[in-house]
Amino acid sequence: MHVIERRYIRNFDFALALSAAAILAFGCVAIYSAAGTRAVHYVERQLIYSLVGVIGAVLAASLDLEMYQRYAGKLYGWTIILLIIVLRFGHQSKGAIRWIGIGPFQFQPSELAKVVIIICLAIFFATRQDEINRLKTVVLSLLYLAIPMLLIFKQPDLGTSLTLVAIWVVMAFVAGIDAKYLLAVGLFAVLLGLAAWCVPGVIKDYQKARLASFINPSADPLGSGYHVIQSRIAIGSGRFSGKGYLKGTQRKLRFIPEQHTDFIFTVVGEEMGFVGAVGLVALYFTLLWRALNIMAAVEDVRGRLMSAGITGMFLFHVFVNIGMTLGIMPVTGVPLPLFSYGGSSLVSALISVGLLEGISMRRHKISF
Amino acid sequence: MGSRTREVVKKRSAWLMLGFLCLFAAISGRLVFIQLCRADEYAKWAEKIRWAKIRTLTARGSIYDSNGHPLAVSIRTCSIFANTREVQNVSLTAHRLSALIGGDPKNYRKKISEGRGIVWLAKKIDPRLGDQVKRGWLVEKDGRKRYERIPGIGVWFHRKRVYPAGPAAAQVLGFTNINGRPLAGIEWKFNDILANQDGEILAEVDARGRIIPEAERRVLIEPRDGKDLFLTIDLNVQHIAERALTRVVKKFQPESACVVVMDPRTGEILALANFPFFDPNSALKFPQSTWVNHAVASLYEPGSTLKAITVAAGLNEGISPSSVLARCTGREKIGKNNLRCSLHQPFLHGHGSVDMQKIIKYSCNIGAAHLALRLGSEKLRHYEEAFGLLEKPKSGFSLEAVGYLPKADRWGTVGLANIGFGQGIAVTPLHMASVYATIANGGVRVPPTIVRGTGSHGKMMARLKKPKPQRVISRLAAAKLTEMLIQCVEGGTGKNAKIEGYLIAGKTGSAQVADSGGRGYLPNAFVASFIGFAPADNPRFTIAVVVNRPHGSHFGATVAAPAFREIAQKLLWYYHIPPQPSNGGSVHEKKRGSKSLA
Repeated sequence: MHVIERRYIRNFDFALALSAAAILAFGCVAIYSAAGTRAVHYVERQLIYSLVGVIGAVLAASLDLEMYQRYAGKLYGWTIILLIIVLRFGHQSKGAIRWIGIGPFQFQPSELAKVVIIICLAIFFATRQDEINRLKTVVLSLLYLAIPMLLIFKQPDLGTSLTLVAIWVVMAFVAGIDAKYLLAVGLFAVLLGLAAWCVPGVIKDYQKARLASFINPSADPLGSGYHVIQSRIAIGSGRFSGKGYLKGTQRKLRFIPEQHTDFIFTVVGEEMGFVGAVGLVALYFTLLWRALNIMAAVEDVRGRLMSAGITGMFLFHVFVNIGMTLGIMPVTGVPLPLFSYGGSSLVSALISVGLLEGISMRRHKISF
Repeated sequence: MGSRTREVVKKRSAWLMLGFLCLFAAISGRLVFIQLCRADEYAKWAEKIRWAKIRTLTARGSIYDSNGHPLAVSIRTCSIFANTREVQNVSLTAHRLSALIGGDPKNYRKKISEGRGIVWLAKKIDPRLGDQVKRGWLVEKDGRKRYERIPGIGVWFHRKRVYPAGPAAAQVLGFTNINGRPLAGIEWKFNDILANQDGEILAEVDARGRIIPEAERRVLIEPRDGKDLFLTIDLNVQHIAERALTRVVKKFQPESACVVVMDPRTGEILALANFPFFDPNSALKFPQSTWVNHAVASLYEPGSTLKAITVAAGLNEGISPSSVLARCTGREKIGKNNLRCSLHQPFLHGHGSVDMQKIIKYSCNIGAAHLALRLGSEKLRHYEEAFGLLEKPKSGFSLEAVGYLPKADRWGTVGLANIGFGQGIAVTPLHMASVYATIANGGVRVPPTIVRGTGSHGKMMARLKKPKPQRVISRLAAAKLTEMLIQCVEGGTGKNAKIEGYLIAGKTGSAQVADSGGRGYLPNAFVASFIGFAPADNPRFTIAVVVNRPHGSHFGATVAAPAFREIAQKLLWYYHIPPQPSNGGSVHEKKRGSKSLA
C-alpha cells in the first residue's frame, strides 16, 4: 500500500499542478481589475468556484480508470439529459440558453460535457483499439460526438461545439485513425459548414458577421469588427511593460466587452504589457507541455487518449481565445481555461487537470 | 498493442508536439508584433478613441426693447437629414419619420431615393421632434420595449434666430443667416456683444461615447453665450410710428419713408421706422432694397427744416428775432440763381418784410437766404457742424452716413444762400431729428443713441457709455427758436400738426431731390418732411417724419405733418401728458428761468 502511494506521489506532476495554480491566481488578479466596480464580488465567486473545482479535481484524480470505464455510459447518458434539460428549461442570457440555475449559481452543462466526451471517446477508442481503422469505428465515434455537439450548437454555443470537434480530431489522431479518414472527415466538415452557411438560420447572423469582420475588421469597425480592433488596441497600447495594474484606460472605459470572461487577455496585455502577456502564455505552455508529456508517458491507452483529449481542449481554448484578442482567430465565445471568470468553465478545467494528475500518477500499469 | 500501432502513436505524438509548438510560436510572434513592433501605433490609436470632441451649443444674445420685450431671440431648433448611403429600407424609414415628425412619407421616400449623400428632410423644426428622432423607433422585442436607431437618419441641432415683433424696427435690428452670421443692422454692428461661441470640449469617453463625469477634459474652445442687448426702442412707440407711416404710405405711395422718434433729453431713439417694410424672420424673401435703414443711411437735402439751424445761428449770434432781414416778393435773383418762395394765402405776392420769426413761421426761402448771407459761410458752417450734421451720429447703427456739405470757401454766394434754406446740403433724417432734439433740449445736444445697455438672461447688467452732451446754442436762443416753431404750428405752414390743448413746435420741409446723375434738381421729385417736438414747453419727444418722393402732393404740410400729428397725439396719451388748461400762452411765460421775448 505504501509502495503504491509513494509511487503515486512520485508520479504526481508538480509542474502541471503549480502552473495550473499560478494561472488560477493570475486569473483572479486579472478579474479583480477587469470587473471594475464589482471586483470583490467577482473574485470572491471565482475563489468559491476554485474550491469546488479543486474538490472536483481531487475526486477526478482519485478515481481509477476502471471506474471511468464502468461509468462512461452512464456519464454520457446523464450529460445528454442535462443538455436537453438546458434547452427546455435553461436560463437565457445574451441570446443563448446555456445555463441551469442552482440557487445563486448558474451551471453550464456544456462545460461538463467536454470532459465527459473526452472520457467517453477515450474509452470508446481504447476498446476498439484493434479495429481502430474500420469505417464503423470512425462513424460511431462521430455519432457519439454529434449528439451532444448538436445539442450544444442549438443553444447556440458555436465555441463549445467547435471545441468538441477539436477534441475529436486530436483524440482520433492520437488513437491512430488513418489519415485518409481524418481527411475525409475534414472534407465532410467543410461541406457541412458550407451548407450550414448557405441554409439561413443555421449559422446566426452575428456569427457570420464575426467571421466577416475577422477577415476584414475595418469594414464595420463599430459593429462586429469592434471587438477585434478594440482588443488589439488595448493589447498594443500596453507596450512592453504595460500601463500598470488597474491603470488600463481601455479596460476602465469598457472599450472591450466581456472583459472579465472571454476578453480577459486584453486586460493582461494592456495593464501588464508584453511581460505579463508572455508570462501568461509561458504558464499555459508549461501546463500543456506537461500534459503532452503525461500523454507520451502513459502506458494505458485510455489514459493516453484522455490526456490527448484534455490537451486538445486546452490547446484549442488557449489558442482560439488569445488568438481572437490578437486578431489571428475569429471571435468565438470560448473562455481562457483556468483564467476567465466563470464557474462551470473553471470547475471543468480543474477537473480536467485533476484527471490529468490521476492519469499521471497511474502512468505505469500496475502488475501484481 | 502491436508494435506498428506503437510506432504510429509515437509518430503522432511528435506531430502533436510540433503543432503545439507552432501554435504557441504564432501567439508569441503575434504578441511581439502587436506589443513591441506596432506599440506606438496602437497607443496613439488608443489615445485617439478615448477622446471625443463634444460641441456645446450656445445661444446668440437676445435683443430687447426698453421695456424688456424681446425683439430678437435665438431658439433651439433642429434639422433632420438622411445619409442615403446608410439608409437601409427607404419606405420603412420614410414611414417611421413621418410617424415621428409628421409630413408625407411619400415626400421623404422621394427625397431619400432621389438624393445622394446627405439629403435634408426637414429644416428648423421643433427640437423636441429632433430628440424623438434621435431616440429612435420604439420596437418591442421579446416582450421588452426599446428604442432602435433609424439607420441613416441624423439630427443636427442648431439655433434659429427669431424676431418676435416681426417687421417692427426690422431695419434697425437687421438679421442673421442660417449659420447665425449677422448680415445687417444692430445684429451686425453689435456682433461682438451678441455673438456666441459654441464650445468644443475634448472629453474622455467610454466605449459608447458617453462622457466620463469625473474624468479629465480639455477645453478647446470655451463655450460662451452671447450677451443680451437692450435697445432704447420702445416697441409701443415703434408700433405707433409704423402705423402712422403705413397710413402715409397708403395715401401717397412714396418711394421710401421713415419716422424717427427721439427723447430729446437723453438722445434715446424711441422708435425708428422705415418703409418699405420687411420681415427679418424671412429677410431673404424680400428685396435687398427693403433692408436699407434709410433714416440713418440715406442722405437727402433737408430743405426748409434746415432753416431752423440758420435761424438758430442768427439767434445765437445776437440777431433780434424781429429785425427785418429782407423783403420777399416771391422771387429774387441772387448771383446767377433765381430764388423762389412757394407762396400760399395770404402771401400770394411774397412774404413782405421778413424777420426770423417769419422765416420759420411761413418758411420763407428768400428770408433764410438773406440771413445766411448775413451770417457768412464760415459761421453757418460752424453751426451745421455744431449740430452734428457733418459727422456720423455714432448712435449704434451700421452704415451711418455723414452729412454732405462742401468746405465753406467753396460755397460761393449762391451756395451760401441755398444752404440757408436747406438745399445744397445733404443729411440723414436721423441728423435732422437730432437737430430738433437739440433745440427741444434747450440748445444742448445729446447725440442720439439706439443701445441702452448690455446684460444677460433678459436682465440689463451694464449701461453703455453715454455720449457727452454739448451745448450748441444758448438756452435763450433755443427758447426763442422754440417759440417760433410753436408759431409755425399755431398759425404757419405747420398748422396740420396742431393738436388742441398742447403746445407743439415743428417745421415743415418740402425739398427738391438733386439729380444724382448730374447737376440740378429732378422735376416732380420732392422729399416732404415734418420735424417737431411736443410738448413744446417741456419736450418729451422729438418726431421726424421724412417721406421720399410722395405722389399726389409734395408738401411737408400735407404729406408729413398729419403723420407727425397722429404720432404726437398718441404719444401724448401714451406718456399720460395732460393738455394745458389755456392755449394762448407763450412757452416762455411758463418756462422758469427764461426771459420774456417781448
